[in-house]
Amino acid sequence: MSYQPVKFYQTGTFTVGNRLLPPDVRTVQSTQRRTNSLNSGHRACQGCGEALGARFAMDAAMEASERKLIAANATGCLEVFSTPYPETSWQIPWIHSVFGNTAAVATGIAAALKVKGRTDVRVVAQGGDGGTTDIGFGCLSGMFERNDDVLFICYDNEAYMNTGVQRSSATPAAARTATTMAVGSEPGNVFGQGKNVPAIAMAHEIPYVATATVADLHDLEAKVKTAMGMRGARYIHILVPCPLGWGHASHDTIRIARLAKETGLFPVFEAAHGELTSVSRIRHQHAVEDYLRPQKRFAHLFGDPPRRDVIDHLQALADRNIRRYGLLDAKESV
Amino acid sequence: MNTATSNKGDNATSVSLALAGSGGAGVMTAGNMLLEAAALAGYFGLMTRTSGPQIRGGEAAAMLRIATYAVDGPDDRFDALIAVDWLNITRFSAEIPLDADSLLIGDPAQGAAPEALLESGAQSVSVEFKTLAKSIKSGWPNMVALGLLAGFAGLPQDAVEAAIAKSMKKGGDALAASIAAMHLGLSAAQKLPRRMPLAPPQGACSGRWLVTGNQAAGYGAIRGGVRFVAAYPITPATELLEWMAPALTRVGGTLVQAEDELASINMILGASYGGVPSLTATSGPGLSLMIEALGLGVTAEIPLVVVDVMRTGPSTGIATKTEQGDVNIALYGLHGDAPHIVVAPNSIGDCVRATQWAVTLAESLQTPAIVLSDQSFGQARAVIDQPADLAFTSRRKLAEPNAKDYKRYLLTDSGVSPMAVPGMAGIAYTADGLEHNERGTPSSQASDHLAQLDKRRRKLASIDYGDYWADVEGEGELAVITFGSCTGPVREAFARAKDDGLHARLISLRLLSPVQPERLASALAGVRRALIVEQNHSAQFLRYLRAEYDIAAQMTSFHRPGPLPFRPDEIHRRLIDWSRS
Repeated sequence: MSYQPVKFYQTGTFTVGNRLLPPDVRTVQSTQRRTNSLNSGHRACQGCGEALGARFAMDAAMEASERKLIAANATGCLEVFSTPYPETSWQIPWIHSVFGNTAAVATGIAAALKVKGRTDVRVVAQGGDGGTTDIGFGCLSGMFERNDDVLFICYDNEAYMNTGVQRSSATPAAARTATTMAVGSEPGNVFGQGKNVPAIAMAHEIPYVATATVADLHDLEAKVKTAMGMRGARYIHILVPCPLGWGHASHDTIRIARLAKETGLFPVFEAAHGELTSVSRIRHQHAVEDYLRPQKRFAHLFGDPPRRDVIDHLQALADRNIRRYGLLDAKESV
Repeated sequence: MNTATSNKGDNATSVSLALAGSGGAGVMTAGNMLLEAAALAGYFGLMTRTSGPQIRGGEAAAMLRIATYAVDGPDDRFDALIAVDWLNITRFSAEIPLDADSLLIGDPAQGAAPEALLESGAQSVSVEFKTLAKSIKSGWPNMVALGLLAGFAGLPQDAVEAAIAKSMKKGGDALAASIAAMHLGLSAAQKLPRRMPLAPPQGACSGRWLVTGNQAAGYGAIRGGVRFVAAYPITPATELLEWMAPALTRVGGTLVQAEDELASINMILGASYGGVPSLTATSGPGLSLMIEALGLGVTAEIPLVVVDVMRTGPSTGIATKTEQGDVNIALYGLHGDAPHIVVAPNSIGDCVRATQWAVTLAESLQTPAIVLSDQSFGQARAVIDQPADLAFTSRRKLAEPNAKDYKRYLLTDSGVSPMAVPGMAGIAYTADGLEHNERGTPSSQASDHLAQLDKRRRKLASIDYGDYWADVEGEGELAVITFGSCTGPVREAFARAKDDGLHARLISLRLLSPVQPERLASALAGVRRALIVEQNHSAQFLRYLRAEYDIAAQMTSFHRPGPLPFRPDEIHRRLIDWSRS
């Protein structure tokens, strides 16, 4: 069927649908070729960002590897909601690696494939922020350092949601969790440096590092495709809002993810061998307050009186990201 | 103690109720309120919960037993099951046994009850919770269900109202709506084909506690002197860390959430080396990761306490359910010859004392202690009599500043040598995982190795563990030896077996390590046969008894894996069969 390219002004914006795009840039998800690697019927919560992100990422990886893919999965929400019988949702070879060792298990799988000469079969490791930034960090760094042929995907929902919302080293400053309650003079999680794993991955000078959010699924799929086109250790860090843990409406997952990017709190970029190669610029800048307000985990900042000092501090972090990554250059800002 | 056989009619002494529904249906909230109401009315009670993994969106059930006497475990069957909806409820049918005397209460709007539940012979009753709840502005079906169950068990209305008010502190319209919905349930209960009103409560109910095993263990730790906790979230131990965080702050202590179990155990190692009694809580997979550091604690003689809230294993297993499968790793998981302490509480209240004891033993003997709790204690809530304070008071033996010729690992008669805390003047030493001499200097000499091995074993034998090593009850030539959460059901089975003329001894071992051969021999004096009851697949406790003790009695094993709890009837029947065989 011939295709008449349509030039809509929305093309490239958030609102454009797949049907308006040329076939080669439509999402894998919108095609009949999609593999449903993680199919429906699992028990994720309503509006789960992780389920959405994993579905897009894994189907894109399946497409890119011509359906020859093995996944290793850390303990966490994704593992828990996608596996209990009879709701097992995985349609690919998949191993639960327990908690802290996904990267090492994936390294082993990649080594076995190398021994067997099966360069056609690819390996993806995936985990949540706990399994990546906390308990899995040692094995992950080892995998980066050896440049093992694995794509590691971190679905970052910024706390341990599966055990009841305890903080992780990816939990943002001031956020309330079960272990960083909104009490005391500095309520919520501490203002520390956090643990910026994408930057740490870049410091290992691995071939590819990218960040993405579930607000831009075209971008997410494109990054997975790029990563799968390379060999060696690759890392994609996807921000996946969690309605349960963040306390926002379940229909707001995409909006919250977009605001994380549009405020500058979550920079979306790509890097190769330690150098920044592309940045998704902010299209419509928002103050961090717009991002914080809809989330109950920040509700204590908006009491009477509001914690202006804390909000300003968070704004300063966003401004630092904007400056550091050039998220808002003069040409693009409106 | 009254038993199920005398439990018919208007003066029930124990009523078992279950509330099931999909995630978000509020069955846990209603269950907690019901337990609170029972407590306020002067009854004892126990609530366990079952769910899929701890994540919203799955089905869940609250299982309660309310009784006129203290209960340490579930009953055989349930008198009533209320299903707010039928979603996946058949998954619980093994956990919620029903029979022809049970009521199965469901909402006709949710469709008919599943065949798998009706097969039990339970009498199906329709109550339109949703419609009833909707008749009240912001009324919820779970509050109607709460009223129904309260009415079924004959709980006083004012206690139920007080329980709701206690839970909904904000009050206002939401509270009024909940109470109104509960009242609709109470009146609907009057129309049920059968009710089981509890006999009036016995004795004064003042001074009772409503706690979970995890809270109890945390409280025991604080009472034992713990002021630093480092932990990593893991089901079913997480509540201990959540409870400890604010509690420690109140007593001048602190809690750090670590990045993994390796970090948490090593943080408490550092804190304890620094002089502060320290503890961590975890479950099987976490304990596996902590083993290396426990070995360091043994060698460097640094007190550590690990509360292991056992869950179904191995590996991730069934994270939300119980099993006694960590006996082997707790006793024998360490490499080398590494004597340490293993203590197993045998009731929710005992979690307080056993943990407190473990802390004082670890501190005074300068070695790691493992507390073997399990999910059926940790995540269960119970109304209990305030546990007696056994006043375990021994503390860490500290060195004197500027002590002359200080030797950290001095070979004393007791094996315990005074410990220097960094910062004490003039007595700095190296604490080492390497084998060492008396000064702590690494040594590969055979004589030093032998002397230090002997010392570390000797110190565990140096103290009198007292009567608290086990609960020993009853008389006769037959005995049941058990530990931990099996104890409650065994005790209840014993009470029933008395009616059959069966008299036996119950020995519930609390101190698993170091072993107490003389005490056990004296407890078993005259016993010809012993039944060993435990909840795991390979009879780990029996193998331990065989390996460590010289038991003359003929031993028979009664073991099976989790996650289903032992019920008194199951043990009672086995007791009778075994005693007659």
